[in-house]
Amino acid sequence: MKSGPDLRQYLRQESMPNVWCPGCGHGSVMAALTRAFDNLQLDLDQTVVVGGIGCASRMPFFLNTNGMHTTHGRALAFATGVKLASPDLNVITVMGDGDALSIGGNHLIHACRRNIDLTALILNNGIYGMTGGQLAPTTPQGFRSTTSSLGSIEVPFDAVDLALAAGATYVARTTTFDFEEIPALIETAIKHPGFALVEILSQCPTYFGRLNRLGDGRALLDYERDSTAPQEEITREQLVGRFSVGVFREEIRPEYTRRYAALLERARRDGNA
Amino acid sequence: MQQLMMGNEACALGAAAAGCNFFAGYPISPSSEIMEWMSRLLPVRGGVFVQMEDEIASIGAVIGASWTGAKAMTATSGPGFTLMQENIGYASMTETPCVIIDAQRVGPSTGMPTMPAQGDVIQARYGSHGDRAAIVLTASTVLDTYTMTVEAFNLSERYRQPVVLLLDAMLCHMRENVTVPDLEVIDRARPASLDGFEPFAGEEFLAFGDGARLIVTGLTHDEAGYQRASNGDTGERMMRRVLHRLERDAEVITHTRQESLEDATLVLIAYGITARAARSAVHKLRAEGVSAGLLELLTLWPFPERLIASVAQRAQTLLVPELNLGQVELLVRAAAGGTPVVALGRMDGSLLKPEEIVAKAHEALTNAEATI
Amino acid sequence: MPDERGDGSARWRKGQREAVGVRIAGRGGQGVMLSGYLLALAGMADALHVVQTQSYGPEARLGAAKSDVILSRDEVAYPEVSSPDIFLCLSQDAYSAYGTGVSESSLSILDSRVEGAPGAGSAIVVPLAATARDGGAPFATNIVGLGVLVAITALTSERSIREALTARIKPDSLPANLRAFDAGLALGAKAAADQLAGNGRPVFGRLRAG
Repeated sequence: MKSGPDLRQYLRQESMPNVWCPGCGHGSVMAALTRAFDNLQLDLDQTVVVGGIGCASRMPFFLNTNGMHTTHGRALAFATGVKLASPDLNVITVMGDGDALSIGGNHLIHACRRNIDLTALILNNGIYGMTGGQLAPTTPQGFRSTTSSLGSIEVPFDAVDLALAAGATYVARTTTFDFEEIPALIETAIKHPGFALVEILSQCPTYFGRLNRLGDGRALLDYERDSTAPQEEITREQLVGRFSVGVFREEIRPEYTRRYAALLERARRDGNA
Repeated sequence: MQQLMMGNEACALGAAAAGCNFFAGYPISPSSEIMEWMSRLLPVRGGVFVQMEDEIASIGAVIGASWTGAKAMTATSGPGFTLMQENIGYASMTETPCVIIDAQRVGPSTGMPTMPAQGDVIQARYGSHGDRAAIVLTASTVLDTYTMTVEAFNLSERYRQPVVLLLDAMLCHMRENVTVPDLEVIDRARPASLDGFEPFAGEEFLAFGDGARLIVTGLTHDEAGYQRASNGDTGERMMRRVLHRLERDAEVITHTRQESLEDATLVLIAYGITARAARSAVHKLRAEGVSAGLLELLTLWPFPERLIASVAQRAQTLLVPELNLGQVELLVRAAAGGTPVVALGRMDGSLLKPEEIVAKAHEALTNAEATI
Repeated sequence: MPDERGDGSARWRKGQREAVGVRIAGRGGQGVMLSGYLLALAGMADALHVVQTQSYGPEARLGAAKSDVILSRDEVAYPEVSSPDIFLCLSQDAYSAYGTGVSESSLSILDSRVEGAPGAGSAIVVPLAATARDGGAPFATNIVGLGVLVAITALTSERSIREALTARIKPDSLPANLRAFDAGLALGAKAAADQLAGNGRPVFGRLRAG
């Protein structure tokens, strides 16, 4: 095992232990996030991590940054206020798939549309974990949850497609199986001057794995491996029940807080009202 | 200098005078002109104006902005106010200073979007789930709208709570001549030192980026901000702390106007736009020789129950005219002891007319005599 | 001295009325909001207390619209005009919508194209739209109406209306509006002489007093 930096400085020891079940993927994502912090040498005093409600959204408690644990689905709305009022802060939202794509779907598409300089991590485990394993807007068709015991007939959302269509300027997807890739994707997302979305497929052995007889956390990593393929190696037709991974968009477009700063400059010059 | 000013304009100008530097909102009648005014006022003052995707996002952004130290406000009306309730509870739980303007219109549901009502009184206090501290103000003139907006900011900054200002469709769109007063502006207290500072222990406020790494959560939490969601004692202790803060200073927070109460046997208790008709009714009744008086409430919560109890002791009858079917009447009844309380309510989008209040007063006095 | 300003309160005190409710009604787009606003602005300049309200939303954009102004020497308690003392009506549809609101003590000032059963109270009928058109400012029917209203009632000083116009109207259309106001004053003076002489209607008489 190679020795790396001591990442414990990025964790808030007072909040430990965390709430995640044995085998849950969210801890891996948090570990990757702390690596990204370390690589970027991020000023933790000037960083705010905003979560909604759900397993993933608990992450602000465990990070040694400023943390804001808000209401279900609304992380991006709160984060938009933080960032607009104080554009120098680094603002990172951590949401689950239900948080970001169901109850908070409206805020997600509008944050994409504004291209505001937020980093949005969506930890997608395909199920509602905190409330006990109900159907999520991401649960693949045919999969079971406590509210789809005969198999889901719903068509799941694809967060990447949604973000691309809504105007996000950095869009990537990976999995906790591909752990080593996550820090670099998050680093790029944090540095990206615009709305940056990284979806990370994460495993929920307690509900998703158990209800669908896919096994424990380790087995679910194999499921992640087998149900994903690099975007260039998979056709749209092959995407049913499967996911493409990679960086789907990275481009520079005028960012919202900078556009607002330009508007302030114009208002100051014109001085009306 | 006198200005001819619309209620919504007075609200926006009051906000600007109070130092508001962040506004997030979503269009809805009859509050939209407040947002339009803020969109013009804030950029030239270096503040932030943003039109959000809905009312839930608007109050969310306001709370987020407040945690960077901004003086933040949103303005809405009934349906939007209802959507905001969960996050207003969050603001209360997290002791976040912010101001919510609710321009009341007839409900429920879409109701009568451009017609005045006073149907959001109980919602303003109890609309969010759970028990919480609450400050709710109202206004009856365009000048009031200005001064109470400043007061809403002052109280929210002073007590670290969301403050709701209830207006109504009539007042919002009404113009009156106003001489803008010069008012004191209060800003939230900052901790003298970060040494041992606990962000939820007192009234001092520390913002994101100010040198500490804060945890803010809507979960039950302790003085340091750490969640104690399984610890009932902590939750009740923390909420009682805030309630105590408001009870302690109830005299300062509670604004009323009292007219001819000294010898009044019939006391009208009114607020908002209806207080104007009530004032007119008191003048008419006095002209007829009836000892009528007016208690106008400018602060609805904390509810001035002790004041009403003492007024009730001296009066024979209390009459509560309001544009709803008995929301403040209910509270007056609870405070009035044995003194009879007569309600006069409507929710048809019309104002109560002075003549209607006078007629009800006569009816009440006749009934009172009959029961003696 | 109706053209002295800043004396509204004193002038009114000599008369018997403490407050007067004016309703200006017309078709959406005829500028009833503006004329109500100007009247309120002028009343304020004359040291009166004013309350101005108006139709709002879809009502103001389509069909008939109204603007109510209360001018008072004391603070205005009740802010609505239940039944107007003065009803200035610019169009037929507005007459249909709001004409029923007048009472026996009301004075109506109606555009000559308005047809229908006369409402309660007294009325004078004047060619508001035609006067505006003949003066080359067909858009200024509302301002002609304001001129007639001030000539007949002296509710505010003429000077304060002119100042309100100057403050609120864009410079390129100000001269036309000022001419429309003057035309309205002349029209009102003549109509008062022709139609109200010896009529003895109390609203008119009292408001002229002082």
